[in-house]
Amino acid sequence: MLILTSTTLEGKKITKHHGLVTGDALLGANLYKDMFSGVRDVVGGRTTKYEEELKSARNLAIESMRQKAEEKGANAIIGTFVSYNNLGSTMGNTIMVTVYGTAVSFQE
Amino acid sequence: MVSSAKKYLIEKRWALIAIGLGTALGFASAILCIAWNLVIFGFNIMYIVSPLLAGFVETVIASKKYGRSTGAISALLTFMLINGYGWFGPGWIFPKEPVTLSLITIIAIVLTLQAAFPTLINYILFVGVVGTLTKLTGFLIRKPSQISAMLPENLEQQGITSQTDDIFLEELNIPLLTVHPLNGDKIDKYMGMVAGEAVAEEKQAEGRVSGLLKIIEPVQLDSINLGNARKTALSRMLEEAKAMGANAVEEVLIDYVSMGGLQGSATIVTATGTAILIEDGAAKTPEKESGEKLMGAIDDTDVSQIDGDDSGEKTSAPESHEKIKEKSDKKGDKISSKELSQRIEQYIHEKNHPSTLERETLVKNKFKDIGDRYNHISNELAQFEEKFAEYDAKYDAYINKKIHKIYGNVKMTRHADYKENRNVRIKEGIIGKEVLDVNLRVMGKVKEVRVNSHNQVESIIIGGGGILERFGLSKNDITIPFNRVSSLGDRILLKK
Repeated sequence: MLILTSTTLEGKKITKHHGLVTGDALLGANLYKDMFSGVRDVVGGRTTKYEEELKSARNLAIESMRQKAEEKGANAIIGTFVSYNNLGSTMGNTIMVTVYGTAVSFQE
Repeated sequence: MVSSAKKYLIEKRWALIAIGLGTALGFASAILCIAWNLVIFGFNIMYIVSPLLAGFVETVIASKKYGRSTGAISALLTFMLINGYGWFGPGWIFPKEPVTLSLITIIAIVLTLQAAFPTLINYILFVGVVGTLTKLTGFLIRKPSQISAMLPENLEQQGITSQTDDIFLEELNIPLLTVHPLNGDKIDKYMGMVAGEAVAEEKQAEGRVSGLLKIIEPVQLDSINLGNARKTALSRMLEEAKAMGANAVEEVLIDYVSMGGLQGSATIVTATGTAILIEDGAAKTPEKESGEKLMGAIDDTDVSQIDGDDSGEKTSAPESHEKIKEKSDKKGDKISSKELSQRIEQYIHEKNHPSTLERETLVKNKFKDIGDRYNHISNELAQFEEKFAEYDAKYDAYINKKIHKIYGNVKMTRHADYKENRNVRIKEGIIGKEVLDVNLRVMGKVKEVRVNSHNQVESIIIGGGGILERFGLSKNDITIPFNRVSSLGDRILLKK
């Protein structure tokens, strides 16, 4: 499955547009709780742990989007857009990672 | 006049009753507190409870009967009464112990005042005091960034100077594009989406006070490490792209999401893009050309070079044979069976050539020569070895003798050294230790050890102790002969 942020496929012929596919993942974490509980990076003091969490959440979202596209019979997703949103109040934080794109079928 | 006063009294009677009742109750509670000795942390709770109770009762009655609050005058009255009594009174009911001006007393006074004049005191407390404190701390603890921000030159510079990631972007060998590449570059292959995240925290070096100030003041751009975070996010994305084997990333999008509430703020920086394999004009053509050249070269060599071998390099038959082999390897399946047979014939022809035979005999002779030489040299080596063995035996005895002698010398000196060292060690071990007499009383600390001419400890000197000893002025030093020492340990024990 080809997943692209580009809106076109250069040199390839898109045979069918299957429509919008989406995928979401929620990252329920309190950034500061994690930070102060000692999950600190040795260098720089920034949590790479949190960044890793973000990455895994993004991968989860993409994976669910990919499955939906596969069910539709597409072999590529173009115009993919990854969006990170902050949900929740001031205290706890939930980060929502949303991925959406257009599922298409293309020929070489 | 009288009637107006009467009218006033009637009008305010409930207020007066409320104040009177409150004061009475406060006073009564104070008496009870004294009587039952309700003391917490060495402080009688009446100083807080009584005014509060008075104020409470007064407010309840006043709001029910009078219609509005009387402002907790009774609380103030009660407090004044109690304290006045404590400070100046004769001390019948209350013990004669003036209220000391402690923190709790001040708080009690403030509380009472606050109950009496809520608006004024609240204004002073929350606007006046906090405002002054904020100004003061802001003045005393000035952040470096604030100072730099104050200078107008620096402020201007901020816009111009490049952030960390600008330099980083210039050094990249993978081009990052936010658009679709169009100028003649052909996208060879789409590798897929790549992304990278990083968290930019606010710098938190300044501590708690300025953390509070942050709520009031706007956040400075350079107090958030955005440049670094962007660099991290981009480089993570690039790593992914590199792992996929791409040589460019197109349609890069950088996004910022703020997170975190009152406790501070962090910004997630994300970068997404599509990894692609670009085939641009400059890189493509030379590769193709060289490839064509190679093909052409192989085609040309087919027959002509072999012919050349035959005529020009007849003497080096084995070499040409190898060459042919190499060529056949190179060409692989391309060689026709006809060519192959031709070559084999040629090989056989060259092998039987007189010059080849001549060379063979020459090489054989050379090998024989080398063999002879080897034998000669090995013989000589064996002779040398024999001679060495002889010398070995001769010198062994002599060297052993010398070593024995030196060893003996070393032993002697070592023995002497040891004896001296032992005394020094004893000296170091003893000095500074406490000396106890027969009754286990501490006499003092060992100041010096005296050693006689035979390297034996003769006596120990104990410092007299006291401050004077520290300055070396004490004259009360005690000299104790070493034979009076009964045991040496952490402390030195004396015998009679």
